[in-house]
Amino acid sequence: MQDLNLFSDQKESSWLEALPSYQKEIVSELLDSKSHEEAALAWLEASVDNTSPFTGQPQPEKKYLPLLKKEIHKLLCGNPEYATDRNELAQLTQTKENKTAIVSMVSAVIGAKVGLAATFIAPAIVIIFMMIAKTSLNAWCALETSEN
Amino acid sequence: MFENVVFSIGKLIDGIFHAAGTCTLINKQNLLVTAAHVVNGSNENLFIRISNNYESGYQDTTIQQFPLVPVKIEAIDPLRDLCILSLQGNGSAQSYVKLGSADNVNSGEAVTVIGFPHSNLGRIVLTQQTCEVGAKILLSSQGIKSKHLVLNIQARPGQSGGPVIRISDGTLIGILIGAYVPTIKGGISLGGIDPQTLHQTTHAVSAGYLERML
Repeated sequence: MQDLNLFSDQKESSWLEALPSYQKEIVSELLDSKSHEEAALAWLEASVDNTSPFTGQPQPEKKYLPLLKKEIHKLLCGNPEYATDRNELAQLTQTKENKTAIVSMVSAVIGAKVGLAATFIAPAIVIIFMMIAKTSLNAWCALETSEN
Repeated sequence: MFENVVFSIGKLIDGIFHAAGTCTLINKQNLLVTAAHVVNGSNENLFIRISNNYESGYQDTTIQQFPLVPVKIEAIDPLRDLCILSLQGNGSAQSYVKLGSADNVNSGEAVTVIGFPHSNLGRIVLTQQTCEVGAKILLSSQGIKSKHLVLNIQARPGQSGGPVIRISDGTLIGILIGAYVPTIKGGISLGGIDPQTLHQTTHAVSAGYLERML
């Protein structure tokens, strides 16, 4: 398994810098009052209070967070399905100040897998990375495996 | 007048276009704006429908074949329910529509709302409505407040994402997102219609949040 040096020497909040400013501001505001898990859910499942949307299509039930966590676990924790992507990610981690490139790459890979736009899931990816950075990748891989 | 500016947007599934809402070409190269919930975070099979059914000013509703152009999400803010899209393919386009803000309008001012009401039922007719801004309000999403307009008009499914144009200067000041409904559980649906949405209180989010997403 390719060793990923993603979360060493990085403050968890430094991952926010990988987002465009408008997303960074919203995620920061969400994290002021919510846990990481709650903030990720808030982004992915947002709806405006007291407003019934007038879309022409039924709104699907959004269960995106478990799906994203599952795919990130596969990507970062050694699932052979993502071996090529993990190698590419390892190359990206060789250079410093590359969080934007890392989040873009992970969002694109996982977005393509789950059928969601990279720019939509990027804030959730960042929040999940912040959760991992609070512990360690090995601990998160072990914990999430037992929870899945 | 708006047929080359405001488009029906939806998903192409098994060769059939399923309208999801309305979007607007703005005065930036190849960029359109709509509501985030219209695209549901996904680029898959996402297209706009080009209006080629105009005949002497009338929209021919018997024409069923329309050119479709793929679009892609460039920026999205689900909390404020806003999305910026780009045209894909070889074409290039932009309109004269400038982005403004709800800050620029006063309650009681006249606005134009453009969209495709009832397009969920297959009736895709570009429709222009004129109404007044009933109120300017702050609404919350996940605890984050945003500026909204209350429009004194009834809207219907298919109009989500449609532009709210300030008549006095032609700027796009809001994006239509839906009807006021009290947050209660156990609502009912009659013939696919939620009776709670049948009133003239339509919400639009300020377009002022779009500028920083460009």
